[in-house]
Amino acid sequence: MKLEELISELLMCRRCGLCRNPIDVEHGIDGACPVWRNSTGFETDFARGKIQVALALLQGNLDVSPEMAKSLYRCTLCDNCSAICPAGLEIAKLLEKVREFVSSKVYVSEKHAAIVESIEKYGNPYLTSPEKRFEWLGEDLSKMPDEAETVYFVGCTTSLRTPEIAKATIKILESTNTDFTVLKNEWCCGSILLRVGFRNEAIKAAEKVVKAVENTGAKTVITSCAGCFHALKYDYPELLGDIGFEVLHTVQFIDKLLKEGKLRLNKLSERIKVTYHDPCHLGRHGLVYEEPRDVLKQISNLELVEMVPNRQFSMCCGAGGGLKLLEGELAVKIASEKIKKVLGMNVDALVSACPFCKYNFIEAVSRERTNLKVYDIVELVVKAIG
Amino acid sequence: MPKKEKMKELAKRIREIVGEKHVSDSLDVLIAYSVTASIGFDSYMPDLVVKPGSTEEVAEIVKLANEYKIPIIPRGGGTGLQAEALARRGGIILDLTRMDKILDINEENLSVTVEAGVTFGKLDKALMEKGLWFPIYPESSLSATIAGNVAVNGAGPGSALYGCIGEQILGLKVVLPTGEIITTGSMANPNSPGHYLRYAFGPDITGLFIGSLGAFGIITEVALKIYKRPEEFKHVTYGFEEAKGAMEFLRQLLLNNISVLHACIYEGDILTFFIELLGEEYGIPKVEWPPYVVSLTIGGRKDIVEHDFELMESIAAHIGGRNLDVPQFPRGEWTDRMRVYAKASYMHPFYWRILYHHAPIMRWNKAAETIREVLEKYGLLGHTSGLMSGRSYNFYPHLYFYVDDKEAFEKVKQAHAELASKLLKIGCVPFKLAPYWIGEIKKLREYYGFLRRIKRVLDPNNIMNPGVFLED
Repeated sequence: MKLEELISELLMCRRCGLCRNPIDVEHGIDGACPVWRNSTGFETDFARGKIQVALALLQGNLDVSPEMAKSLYRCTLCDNCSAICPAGLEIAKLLEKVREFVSSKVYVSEKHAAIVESIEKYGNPYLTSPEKRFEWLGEDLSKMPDEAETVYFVGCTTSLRTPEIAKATIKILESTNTDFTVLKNEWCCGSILLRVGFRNEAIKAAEKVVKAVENTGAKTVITSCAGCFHALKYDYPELLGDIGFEVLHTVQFIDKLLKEGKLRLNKLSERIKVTYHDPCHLGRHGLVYEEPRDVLKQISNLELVEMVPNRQFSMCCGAGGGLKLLEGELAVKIASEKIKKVLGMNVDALVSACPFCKYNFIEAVSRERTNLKVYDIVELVVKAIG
Repeated sequence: MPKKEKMKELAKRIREIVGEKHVSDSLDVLIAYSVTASIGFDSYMPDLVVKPGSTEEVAEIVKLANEYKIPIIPRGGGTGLQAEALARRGGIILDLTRMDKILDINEENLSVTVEAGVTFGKLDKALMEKGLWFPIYPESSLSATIAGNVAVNGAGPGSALYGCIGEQILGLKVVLPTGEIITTGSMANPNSPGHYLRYAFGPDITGLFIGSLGAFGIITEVALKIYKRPEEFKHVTYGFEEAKGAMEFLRQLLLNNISVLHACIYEGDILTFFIELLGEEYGIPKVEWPPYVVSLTIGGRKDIVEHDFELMESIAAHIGGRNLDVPQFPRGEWTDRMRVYAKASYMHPFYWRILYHHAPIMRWNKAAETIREVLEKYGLLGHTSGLMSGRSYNFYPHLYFYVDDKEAFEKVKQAHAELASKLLKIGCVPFKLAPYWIGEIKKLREYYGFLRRIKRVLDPNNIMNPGVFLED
């Protein structure tokens, strides 16, 4: 997108301010910007003010410096603001473009420099040696075939922070006799690079991933990470053109298996009441709202209650858009707000479909000193497989 | 002391009052506060932004602002469309959104008291949980604050029956321009069990602050009347061949005390425009529209609504109106009342200047004609929308321009000034102080002189939102 185009689009924000903290109970709206609600709450803490700062930077009225640009990165890119925007702006997308402009000139934080370097060196943003990526799989990694119909793209966060999600996913794939493999040289999908404005570096990562998938001959890639899902399904075609394979999130894959009768779920041994958190990349960005709910409803002895807001107006977990990297405390504070809400619902567990959401929620649960359980949906599916 | 040093010292002292993190003089933050939703106006850089947490903090800041003679501009949701909360002479922007507590839902006195920064959406949620209702929904309900709306005397769906917000106020807490804190209405008596009467202790001091844009003081708390939520609604669209019929119909609804919550007259282009924008979303069928359309919602107790509907049908028939059988139109407007106007204002690519005013109900056609004439004279696009607000029709005509068309913007400014003058001539009135009306209000010499005298007495250092009295 050219600079002038970006400026023109941003100027379509006519500053109504609905993106700050709208509450409209009859329409299931209860807030929009998690950052505004959990910070000092200046104008620069939600979309309207960020757009003014972005315009000033792009039009040369404000120096592009880490100090002046930092508010543009204090955002989870959850896009709840776009869900309410009467002008129909795609704010997360626009902010990514603005970040690209900024990140091409300065590193807003040393942490950004570090993840760029880490991904280039290790293939993950966690400064972790690549050998550790499949530690959770142990010796089974070598048994994975070189070619398969389906690739399970695990993702950095699942592998290195929430490997229980990967183990559960593998169990589901095995129990349904899916012809699958993993990418033995799996590389970061590049999502975080795109979110914080390093497009060229993201293209390199995307090319590596696509090449690796091509080598397996797979027609389908499934991933249990909402961030990877968004990158592969929506960003890759934009970055690279046709990628030649279908991308599904695990909840879509499981839902399909259930609906085709290829997977049966048993009764859980213990009754459980849960609520579901819509990950932003899966819900608002991918419009995958019903599949996870349909899957949960197939599990007997599980009661699903909806929190409000949900679906397109769901509040973000706080981890996305590079916020957890840049302002970890704020990210956990946002998650804590949601955890407190869930605690008021008298449920046993909070279920999500994204390792990053789970990771952040777990931190918040510990902060709130509660025994609320946090599951990824695949973990409950595995429990129901028995 | 040079201004820069003065501001630095002032900022330091304000930080001591509200805490470091609630004050900013960072350039990016100041830029974000140099504008509001007033897209038809220039931006103005403040020197400082402060987010106070209490009335007492506001009072302390105001005292300091007097000491340093620095302007102070209260700001709610930043949703004002007419340069109300801009730092036209620099100074401190007081962002009141941190003061967002609902202080007292008083079921005994049927009042609710809120802090300045509570939004209409938040209030609606809290009242709904108790089956209670505040009946006015300004077009920016999801982002506008209650105190901000009082400062502009706003209206919206619900106003047909309940008037502008000023009609619903029982009392206010205000920080005066010299820093004293007063409570108006029955709560001026500290022994009062809550707000229950506005006109206590003689003259209506509350009214001084309604529509004042903060020029006479900073509203930090608002007490409003509350009601039981309506149990029944009826959405009806009537067609009229002549403007006279539509206006007479609204007058008859008032005369007969019909429980009409929301009513709008649509005509020609604005009807087509609205249907194009929202017709599909609201499921409005394709029909042959008559020249004038009244889209309305009645609501309240079931027995009253049923009775009022029958009466309304006979009134309409009597003056030549017909029920168009398009309930989708008003139902859409009412259901979407918290953001229908935001949608209609931003779904298209235009920037605009707005000229809020009230017209007498029976001069709806004159006001609409005047707006159309001015638009035509200047070759501008725009519209003549509005809504019934008690005994008046609250117009909010938009004058469109594209953001990068400087020539058109200049034309809009001229057209806007001319329109203000012409509207006053046909008996219309603004409902608040506002820069673009000041030129016209000045012509009402004695009235304006009185306003200025009040201002001088209350605000000797002229620090409270001085931009209000500056011409556009």
